[in-house]
Amino acid sequence: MRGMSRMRTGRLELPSALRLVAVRYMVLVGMIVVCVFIGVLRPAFFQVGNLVNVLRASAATSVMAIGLTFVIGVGAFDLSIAGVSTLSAVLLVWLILHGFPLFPALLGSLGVGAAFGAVSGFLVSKRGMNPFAVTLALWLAANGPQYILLKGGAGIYLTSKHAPILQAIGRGRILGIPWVVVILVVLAGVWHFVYSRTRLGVHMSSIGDNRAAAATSGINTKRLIWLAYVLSGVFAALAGVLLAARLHSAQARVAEGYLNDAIAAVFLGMAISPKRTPHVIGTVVGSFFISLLANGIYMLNVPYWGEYIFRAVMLFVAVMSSGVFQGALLRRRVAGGQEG
Amino acid sequence: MNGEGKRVLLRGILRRYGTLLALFLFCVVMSFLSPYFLNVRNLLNVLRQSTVVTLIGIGLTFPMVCKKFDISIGAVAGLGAVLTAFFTVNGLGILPTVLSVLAIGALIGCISGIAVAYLKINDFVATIAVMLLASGLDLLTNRGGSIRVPSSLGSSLRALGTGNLAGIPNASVLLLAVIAVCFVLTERTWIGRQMYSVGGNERASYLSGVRVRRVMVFSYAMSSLLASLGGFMLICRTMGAEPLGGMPLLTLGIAAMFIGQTVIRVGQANVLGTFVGGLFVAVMGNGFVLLNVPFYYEYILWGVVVIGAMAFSGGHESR
Repeated sequence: MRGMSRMRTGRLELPSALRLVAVRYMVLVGMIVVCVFIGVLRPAFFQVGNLVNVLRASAATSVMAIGLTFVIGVGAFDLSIAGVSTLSAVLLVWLILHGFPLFPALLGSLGVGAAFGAVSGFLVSKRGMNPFAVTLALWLAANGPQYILLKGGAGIYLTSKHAPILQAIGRGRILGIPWVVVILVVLAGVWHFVYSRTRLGVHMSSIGDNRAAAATSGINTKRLIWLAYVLSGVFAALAGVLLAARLHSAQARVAEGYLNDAIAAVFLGMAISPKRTPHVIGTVVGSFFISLLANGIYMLNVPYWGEYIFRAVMLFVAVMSSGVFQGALLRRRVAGGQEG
Repeated sequence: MNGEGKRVLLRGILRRYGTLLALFLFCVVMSFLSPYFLNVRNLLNVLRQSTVVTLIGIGLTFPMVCKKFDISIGAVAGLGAVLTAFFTVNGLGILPTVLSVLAIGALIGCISGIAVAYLKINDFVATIAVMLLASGLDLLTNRGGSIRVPSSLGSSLRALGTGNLAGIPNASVLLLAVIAVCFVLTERTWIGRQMYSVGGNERASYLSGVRVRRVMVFSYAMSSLLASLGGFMLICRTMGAEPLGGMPLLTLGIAAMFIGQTVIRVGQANVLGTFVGGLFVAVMGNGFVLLNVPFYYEYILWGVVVIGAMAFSGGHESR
């Protein structure tokens, strides 16, 4: 820790460009090394089929993480994404089972996501409540309607007669590439452009950089924070839809485990992004690597409890390498030194 | 006293004791809706059931005094429960069991504390990672299966969980003792004052000689220790552990702590408030059971309760 902080405050004699490259790609290189290691032990790991499968499995997490990128980009947080995602997956399947056509069912499912995002965005931006506490409460609240729709049961299932389009999206391929991967790539491309090249995106990231400065230069910070939460809710719901499409069913708490992966993906994305800020493509790459490593660990026959511990370590690594939460500490240290 | 002054006074009383009033009103309504509610046996049962939730809520109160959060409490309580069952089934006595469960809990709390205080990771994110860690250990302990404690081995646990002392449940006696210790610890000792001071202003505390990082690690250690004690008490009552069984307790513990912030010291987590919050949660849970409300409606309720309690108590503006 001490060595790292010294490096960042610039007291260590290391060319700054080299330092930047080292920090920026340390995580990426580390993960690639681990992957090569797994690939040597298990040759099946690097087969195209396996990689495509990993991409497909990571699609829902990646979509969820893209939404979280916007919220972290405006300097807030959203813990409710996994709960919202599960709820929208369950709602979609429930609506289809109750005779709704696919399109209205999709609208309803995404609408619930938008509504949850709107509520947390309102409470955070207009009422100034703590983003973590608010979205934690909404996470817990999202579990209720989910169980009501499931009638307290474990899951609801579609048959092959229901929603053939949904099934095609979830399981089908085009030119050998799964549809969900195509959707993910298109979403990531479009929203990366919006986030980095349009006025909306630039304004949003300027709020995360310095909210007071953004407000002073005439940006409607409250409205954009609200918008970021709505986007996060819609993306979480979309992730739920992709999950329901892939499984052709919805189970209780189906997306719950994706929360930590999504958080880790955003922070990994920040660690490898050019300015160490939230970055849509970075998030998707981070999410892919997390899934890849989880897949590798599975292939190495590590028992399933090991996966939990792997995910915990991954989250720590991601947050530490992104350095975002050390930023405040660093500034204070430069200003006068803080040793708790 | 003029009318304006009276109104201010009334509002002050409502702000501090409104939750107690609501609890009282809920009890009155319940006693009309269900003939079983006011039975002594039912009330003692509620008291017994409130033990686990209150212990977990009081655990969470410690980091909350420092204005930090701990999401891992549910998973740590689940781990405590599984470990208790595991140790007992493998022939350990009640004292070695509880001591090792508490030690493991405190150790996990130290991990959260070090991550938050020394590595400066955001408290929510760090404790999510610790939550995963505890879940992994939970599954590791019994390879993901559920454990039943046979009555031949768990007689002393059962006595603690369901027995009575002069008409009062043993579990409640233990709870009251824990509350007394935690109350003195947070309100009457230097470490408690330092915790409140860290919660008030970290930088000012540091400059006036408080070892901020150690105080935070202590508060997280207490949080996980009390959560695993909650898991231990859960086994004493149910004599069986499910894998990852602690997750519902997270919701209830959070609700107890947030309801507690609306009592006695409004807007500030405090031990006595959490005690009232735990009672509140247990009474309402009991009411739902008596009225045959399906369990999943409770989730919505607790989400709304937490947001409402936050809005009512104030002091949750973003840091």
